Amino acid sequence: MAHRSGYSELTALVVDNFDSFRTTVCKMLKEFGVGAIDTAGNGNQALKACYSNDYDLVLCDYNLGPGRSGQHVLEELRFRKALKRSSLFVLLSAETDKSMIMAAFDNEPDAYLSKPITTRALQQRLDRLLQQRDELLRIHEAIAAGSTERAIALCRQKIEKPGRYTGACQKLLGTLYLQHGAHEAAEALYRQVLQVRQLDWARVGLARVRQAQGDVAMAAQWLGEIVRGNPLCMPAYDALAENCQCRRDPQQLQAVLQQAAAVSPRSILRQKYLAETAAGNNDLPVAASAYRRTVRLGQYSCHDCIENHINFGRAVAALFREERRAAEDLSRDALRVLADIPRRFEPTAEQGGQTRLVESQVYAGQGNRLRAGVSLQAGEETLQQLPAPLSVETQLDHAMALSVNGKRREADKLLTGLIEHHRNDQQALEKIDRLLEEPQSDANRRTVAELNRSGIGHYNDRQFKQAIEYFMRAKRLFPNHIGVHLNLVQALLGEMQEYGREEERLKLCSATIAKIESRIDHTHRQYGRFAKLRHSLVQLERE
Amino acid sequence: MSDKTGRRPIDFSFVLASSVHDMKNSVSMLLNSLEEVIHSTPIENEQQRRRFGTLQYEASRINTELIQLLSIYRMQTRRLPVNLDQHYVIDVLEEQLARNHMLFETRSVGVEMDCDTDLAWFFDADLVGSVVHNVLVNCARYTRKALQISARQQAGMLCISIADDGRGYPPAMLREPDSDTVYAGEEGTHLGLFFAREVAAMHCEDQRRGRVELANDSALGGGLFSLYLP
Repeated sequence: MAHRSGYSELTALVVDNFDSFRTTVCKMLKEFGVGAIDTAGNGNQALKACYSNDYDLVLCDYNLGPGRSGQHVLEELRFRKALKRSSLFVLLSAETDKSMIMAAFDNEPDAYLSKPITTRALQQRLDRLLQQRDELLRIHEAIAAGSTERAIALCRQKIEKPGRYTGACQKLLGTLYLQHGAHEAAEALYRQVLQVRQLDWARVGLARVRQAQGDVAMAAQWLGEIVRGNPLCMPAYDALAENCQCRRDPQQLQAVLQQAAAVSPRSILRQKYLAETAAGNNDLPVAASAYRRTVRLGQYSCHDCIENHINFGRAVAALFREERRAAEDLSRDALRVLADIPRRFEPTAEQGGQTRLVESQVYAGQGNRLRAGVSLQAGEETLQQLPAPLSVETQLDHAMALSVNGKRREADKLLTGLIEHHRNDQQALEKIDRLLEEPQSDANRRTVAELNRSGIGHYNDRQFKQAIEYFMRAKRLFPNHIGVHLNLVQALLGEMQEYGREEERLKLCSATIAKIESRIDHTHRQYGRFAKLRHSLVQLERE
Repeated sequence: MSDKTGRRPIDFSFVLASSVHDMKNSVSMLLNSLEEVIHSTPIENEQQRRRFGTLQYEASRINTELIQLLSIYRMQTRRLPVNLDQHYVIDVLEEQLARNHMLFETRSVGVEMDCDTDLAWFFDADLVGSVVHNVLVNCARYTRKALQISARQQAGMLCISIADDGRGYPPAMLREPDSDTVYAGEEGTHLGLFFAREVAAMHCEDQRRGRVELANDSALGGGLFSLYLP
């Protein structure tokens, strides 16, 4: 069989958990004349081999038995930058599961081959990949050396003489222009491509240009159209997420990430991003399940970290205050994950303390007072050994654990001290706000005032539906804010007095009243208003 | 929606798709294990070779069929978007020929290819690749000893055609489909043809759509399958 020369200079690694398959592939590579071939039987061996050798070619099966998969191997090699840009990583697989392929593509394998493979098919593919590697080698070298301008010049040279690699060079050039801030050049390039065909990568590129030029609204509109036409276009979701960040719209950001995570459920970094965003929005059901998935996906991933595990516990503990049933379903899993932390990581003393305090809250949520008390005590003992000051996160974990263990007064004292200590630290205050009745940070005060103002405006115009939406958002962000809860009750009552009672609304109304009742006493300045609203509700219920 | 008993009606296509997905994974595992067995068992005689050949061929046919079913389900639920990019046609054709090399070898079918190495076009390489694969597997079964695969530009469309020297396509398949339903004839379900037509139609540019044409006047004297893409 005739084939390209140069195979003899290559070094290759073949990774598969079946040795018969390794032997077969090795035989094929020897037939092509590959000079040196190593093999690995699992993910760990593969990583070790790659850390101590520079392979030109890695042929790796997706399914490597128990432990790391081929995708995890690639993910880690890319993350640790242990693969030269000139190396080729080819992923092989017998499965064609969509979510698996989508996740693998995030880490950009050079090729994806489905098993069974034949000698001919493998050689053809390798011939083409090596040819492309050689053609683009100088460009990649320039990029690796950080000389963007030279890489741009080299790309343009290649594009001037149209050929096999024009498309690949155009894609690279567009990204380089964007990185370099050459927006006009990028726009011209993408428009030129789009004149011939409406290709998704060029459409995403053009939207990115618009975004970089500051026309965020237009970019959002274009990206939305791309995603609607091709719901599997992951780069479009990533650009959309960036777009929401620019617009400071965490609600929309969460919606985009939820959509992206539904399309490609095995991507750990998107899952983590979703979990963090939802936690920021205090959308606890979404945050808890996204953290749970992040922890699961992290089992063999280099992107796993102790924070994900503790945060999963935190989200479940918080969920107990809002949706008991959902929290109960997740709590056993959360406790297992928390208990596993010392074995899996090397937690610092402070992280160890946090873990016990969060654990205490989950036990308390389950109604297991005894265990909750034991964990709280263990956590407190750890904290006492630590030098002051403790981080805001740790102290908040502590305050929440105290609160759910029936030590409200101690919790309040801790929070008051914390606010006092961080008077001038807006970032710290924003974190504390969620536990308070009234937010202390400027940003959160503004947010709650704005939401309240919009809600009240709609209420005064008798647009109850919109008013309720605003108060619900405020309630989700500040779950202890009495005023917001009262406003919500008032809007719900207003709607039902106007349009008649409705079971769902009535339920929400009495749940909100019950929640206020648990936190208010007759000395509270809003007690009178509360009593009046409660009375109206009782009357409505009697009708 | 609910029927008289208050139960929700079963969405049969959803149930079918889920179980097809399971079956496909099982068949993949089966194929993989089979591959392992063949690699680790040196072939001792002609009978054994033929048996292995049959096992492999029939299992991959099931696999292909299941993948098609699943793809059609995804098309209907709009979860199979077209991934357009520029590709060299010869790469796609060569890949499919290489993939089925063993099949042609064991059936002693001679394959000829006629495609300009510089012919590039915009299409979804995976979808078009699997259409070509299906036609090749099908042809390997019905042709006598020769296959010709060619690609060229024709009136602004890309035309990929596969000719054989077999008995030709049965009349029922040659008729243009009057609706987009899959029909079961005596010769089978024609699922492959339905899939090919769907893939062709998913490729559109301005007002033009891709299409599939079948004929029995190929240069080799048998059936002629042509895929046109705008």
